[in-house]
Amino acid sequence: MNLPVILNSIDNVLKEIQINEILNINKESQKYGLYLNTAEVEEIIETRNHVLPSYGRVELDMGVISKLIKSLCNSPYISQEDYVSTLNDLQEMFYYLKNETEDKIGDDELIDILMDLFNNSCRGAMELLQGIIEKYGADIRYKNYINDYLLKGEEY
Amino acid sequence: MNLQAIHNIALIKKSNLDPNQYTISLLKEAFRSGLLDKNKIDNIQMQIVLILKDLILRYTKGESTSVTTETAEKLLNSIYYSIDACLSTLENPEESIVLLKTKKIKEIYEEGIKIVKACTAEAKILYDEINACKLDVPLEAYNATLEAIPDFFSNYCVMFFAHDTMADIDYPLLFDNTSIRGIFYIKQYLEKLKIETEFCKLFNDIDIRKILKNYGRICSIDYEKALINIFELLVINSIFSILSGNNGNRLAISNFQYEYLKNMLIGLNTSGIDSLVSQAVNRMINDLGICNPKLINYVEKYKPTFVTRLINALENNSLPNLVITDNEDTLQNNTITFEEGDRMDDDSFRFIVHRLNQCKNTEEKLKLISSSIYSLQDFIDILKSDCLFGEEFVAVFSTLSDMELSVLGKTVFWEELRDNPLNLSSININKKEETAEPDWHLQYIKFIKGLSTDRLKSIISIINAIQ
Repeated sequence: MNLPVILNSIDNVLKEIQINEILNINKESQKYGLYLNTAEVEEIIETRNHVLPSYGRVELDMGVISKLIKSLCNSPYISQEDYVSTLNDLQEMFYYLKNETEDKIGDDELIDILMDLFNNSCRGAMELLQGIIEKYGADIRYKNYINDYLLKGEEY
Repeated sequence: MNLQAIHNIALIKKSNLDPNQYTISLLKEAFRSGLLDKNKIDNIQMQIVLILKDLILRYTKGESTSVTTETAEKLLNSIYYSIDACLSTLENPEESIVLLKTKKIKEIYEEGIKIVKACTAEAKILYDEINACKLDVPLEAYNATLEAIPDFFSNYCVMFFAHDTMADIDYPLLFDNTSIRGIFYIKQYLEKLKIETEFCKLFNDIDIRKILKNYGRICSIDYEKALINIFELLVINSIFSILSGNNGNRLAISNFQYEYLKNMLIGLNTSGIDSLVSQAVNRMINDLGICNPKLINYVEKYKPTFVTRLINALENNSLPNLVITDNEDTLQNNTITFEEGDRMDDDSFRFIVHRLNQCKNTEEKLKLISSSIYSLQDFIDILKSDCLFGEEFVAVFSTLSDMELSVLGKTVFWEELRDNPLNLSSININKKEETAEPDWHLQYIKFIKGLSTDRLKSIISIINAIQ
């Protein structure tokens, strides 16, 4: 039952739906002076389609990228210039954190954490955010390791 | 329907359909034969992906739109399992293709979920029925399996993991279909376990435990921990019991009866054995009063396997490993105490003698004696009753073990044994032959004269050991 094979076979059909879904968000983001054209949307989708399998994940709608766009567009630290690259980086950070937190934190909460760090701790500096996210991921991994160890200790 | 459609129908090869991936293999076959084009197949797959999208959201309780690839594949397997459940109920693959063409996949999927849920409910009922009359046997695999099945039902999730068969099922059935998955596997397992239990309940628990214990002794294994199918053991011994002259509900086979059985089977060709076993199976079904057609079919299905095992055992001289004998008469501490069974009443005895005189041949007489005479005194009375002649005595004595011959010898040589133990030199068999009375004593002496020296020595030593 090869999921990638099935998804590949309907890729063209899915892509059109996905592009339209994101283009629709322009209506909201334009209020903040931010806009994505079709080529940029295709680039974002391409990044997503590359990032998802590299993190061993499957997503069948544009829920995450849509929420990221809506959260990012009212940030004081984003401009049209770095809109696409920031979205691509945020996507990757999001799916990285999803794995590190072992799916224990919901999408909305995780996006809130990301945007809070982006806006407050990092003030839009992506390299700084990258470092914090990696440390955050390591901390969570360590906490999970300790919890698992303690749990196994209780079992014995 | 046009000619092309009819031609297309003939192109569906059922051998290309995988019952465990029915929908996927059906789509491939339909595409290959031109019954479905790529657009339609893409459309079907798109509909399935949309179902998966919804399922992911349900699985994450709306918290996440993404899952790991492993989880997504499991959810997809579950979706296909339910779709398979619906399509598999149709008469033929062609009807399934019509349904795929005309109905929305979501409707087929939801119908499939209903079928899976119904199957789960039926399986639970089956389990309760089996558990209510489970066998009282100290078999770890049997008891552990029955304990594990409720855990399966507690954990089984029709929505997300319908295809999973996460259950510790160790007890081996005779005809388990391990190629299927999920609740359909569990249900077929329980259906067959129910049939086997029904058969096993025709015998009492004490006899079953005895068979298991003796099986462990013969195979030198700890039977409590072994993966033994109780049904098979009981069927085998019931058939052998009938072949050795007993009724089908008797499982115990003595060494005496084993010898008779062996002598009967050796020398028979394959068709002879097949015919004998067929008759025994029919007799078993009759004796046990089996009316359930499913149980009858189950037993009949086992028959060819049993015949093959029997033929192999005879060819490889391993019949003792197949026939589970009672181990009640072994030598211990060089002394034996023979316990006499209940004697027959006079009317019953006379009836047996009458029947013996009606028998057409020696084989019939042997069968009657082995199935009707259980006590030593009754046996001796039969020997005295003028219903056996000449070579018939030889045939009867030939079926006896050294033990049984020794017990008879105790009676024949009682005078010699009064003062001294018996030995080869103290027996003047020729002199004894001249004076032996009644006739069966003479026949006995003639018979043991024909035995090998070693065997005669063995019989004499047992005679001396019997109290």
